[in-house]
Amino acid sequence: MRIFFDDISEVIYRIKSGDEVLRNDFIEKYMSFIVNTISKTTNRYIDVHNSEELSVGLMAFNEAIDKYDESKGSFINFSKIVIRSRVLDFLKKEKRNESISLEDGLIKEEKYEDDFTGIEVKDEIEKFIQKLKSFGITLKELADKAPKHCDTKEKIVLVGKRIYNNPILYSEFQRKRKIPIRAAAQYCGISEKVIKNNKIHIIAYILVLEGDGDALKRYFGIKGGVSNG
Amino acid sequence: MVNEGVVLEINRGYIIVLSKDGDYIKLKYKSGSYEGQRIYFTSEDILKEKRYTRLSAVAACILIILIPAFIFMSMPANINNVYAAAVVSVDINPSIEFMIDNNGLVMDMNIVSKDAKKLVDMGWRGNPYSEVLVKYLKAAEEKGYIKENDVVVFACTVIDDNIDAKKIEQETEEAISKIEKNVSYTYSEANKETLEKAREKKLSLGKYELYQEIIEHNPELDIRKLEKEDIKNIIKETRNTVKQNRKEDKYNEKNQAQQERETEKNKNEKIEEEKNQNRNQIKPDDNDKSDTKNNKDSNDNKDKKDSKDNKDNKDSKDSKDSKDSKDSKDSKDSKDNKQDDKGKKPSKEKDNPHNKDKNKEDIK
Repeated sequence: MRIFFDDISEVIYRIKSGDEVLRNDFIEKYMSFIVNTISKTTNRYIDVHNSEELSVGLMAFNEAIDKYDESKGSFINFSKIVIRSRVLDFLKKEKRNESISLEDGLIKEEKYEDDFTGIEVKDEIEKFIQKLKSFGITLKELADKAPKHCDTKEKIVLVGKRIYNNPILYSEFQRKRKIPIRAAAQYCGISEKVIKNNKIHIIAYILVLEGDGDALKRYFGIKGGVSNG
Repeated sequence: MVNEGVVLEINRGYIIVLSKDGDYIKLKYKSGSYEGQRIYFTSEDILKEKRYTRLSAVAACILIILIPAFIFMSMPANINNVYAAAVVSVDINPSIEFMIDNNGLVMDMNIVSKDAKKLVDMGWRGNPYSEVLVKYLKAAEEKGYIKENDVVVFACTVIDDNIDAKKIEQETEEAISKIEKNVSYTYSEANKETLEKAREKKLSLGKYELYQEIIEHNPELDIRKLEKEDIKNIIKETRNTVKQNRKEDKYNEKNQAQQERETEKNKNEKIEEEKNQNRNQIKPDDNDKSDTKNNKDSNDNKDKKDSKDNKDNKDSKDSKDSKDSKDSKDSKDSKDNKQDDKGKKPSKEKDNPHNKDKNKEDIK
């Protein structure tokens, strides 16, 4: 990141005068702002698969950089307006395209593909949630008791992996429907307290590892999943 | 920064996603998301637990503000006896006040002096006033607060008119009659205002009444003295002062009467003396007076003379005018004459008193 200027108009002046690296840095820095603005305009989260909205928003932001001068007020407000109007234009166009797409086979096929992968992932998630339920765990609990330190997160992954990979521990885990805390603690060299406190996360991790699909594994950095979305 | 995640669950008000970092995160609900959808989200979308803590902190603050407020609100309510129908104060020293409700039950007891705490059982709340009072007086007697020939001061303020004030008085009398020792008592009724004033001065009702009475006769009395000292002594003191005052008053009355008589006598004497003096010294005084009067008279006479001269002149002028224009100005002449008459009249009136004076002088 090379942006250390407090004054946005100064940065924009330099970008306009041809500093392309700075432009990319600037856009990257304002990525969350762009995402937020798009999300607020459409009132829904940006779909990773269907990220046309995002590219429209990015283009609008880029346009805002080029069109901005100080007479237009603050850059943030100006770019917000530009992104909003461009995204709204895009949504209108998309609606029209939808009506056309009923006749256009190609676009329809593409959509089918998207839906198909979506259904697969949904299936996997449902199975995962069912398994969690059998252990008496809800997703809400997992979200509420999320570990705050990277340290504990690493420990969860470590313990989960070790239990899953150790046939004795794993069989005991499956048999008793709970973590063999003492054995696991000794085996991993981690205090029982940490395992007790984070047992639901460890169980959830093991369940993800158990899963057939790759959609969830990807989020834990487990190799072997489908890399592209 | 922008994060990516897969939607795991959609709930009312929030959705749970599994983020790229392997975290389960609650996000704000936005329409159009479905389970299994991969989405971009930012830190702004995350529902923070901190919000709840902040809310609870605010709630705690409000409570902290409100609780003392409630206590503060309820305290004066208790003190002003909004709920009580009547307040009876009993001053044996210690002093206590009984809050009585509409049914003649003691709701609460206001311990005015610390010693009263030893005599009181808070379990008495809800019992009839007559019983509570007897118990209290007996306890005071046992612990030696009531001595022979002591004075107990009762004062009653009726707040709710529905309560029977006479019944309270009767019950009080009955209770005091059950005490073995020979005790005299006073019972007075006070209005709400005196109750409030008593509260301001931090005295029991009876003592405040007493204080008011005493201060009429003995304005130098310290209120603080009432808080601690025996009522008996104070009453004695006041009686003494009252007696003294009465004596003084009587003396004063006598003195005043005597003085009045003396002054009357003096006046009479003086009058007589004056009369005698007048009789004796008429001549020189009157001569002086008559001299001044004579001077005045002479001045008046001069005025008169002047006016007469004027008249004469006018007459002469009139006569001249009449000579010049006899026919046309007769009417004017008549007016002039009238004016002259008017001018003469006051002078005549002025003359009259002088004449009278002269007459008097003549008489003298």
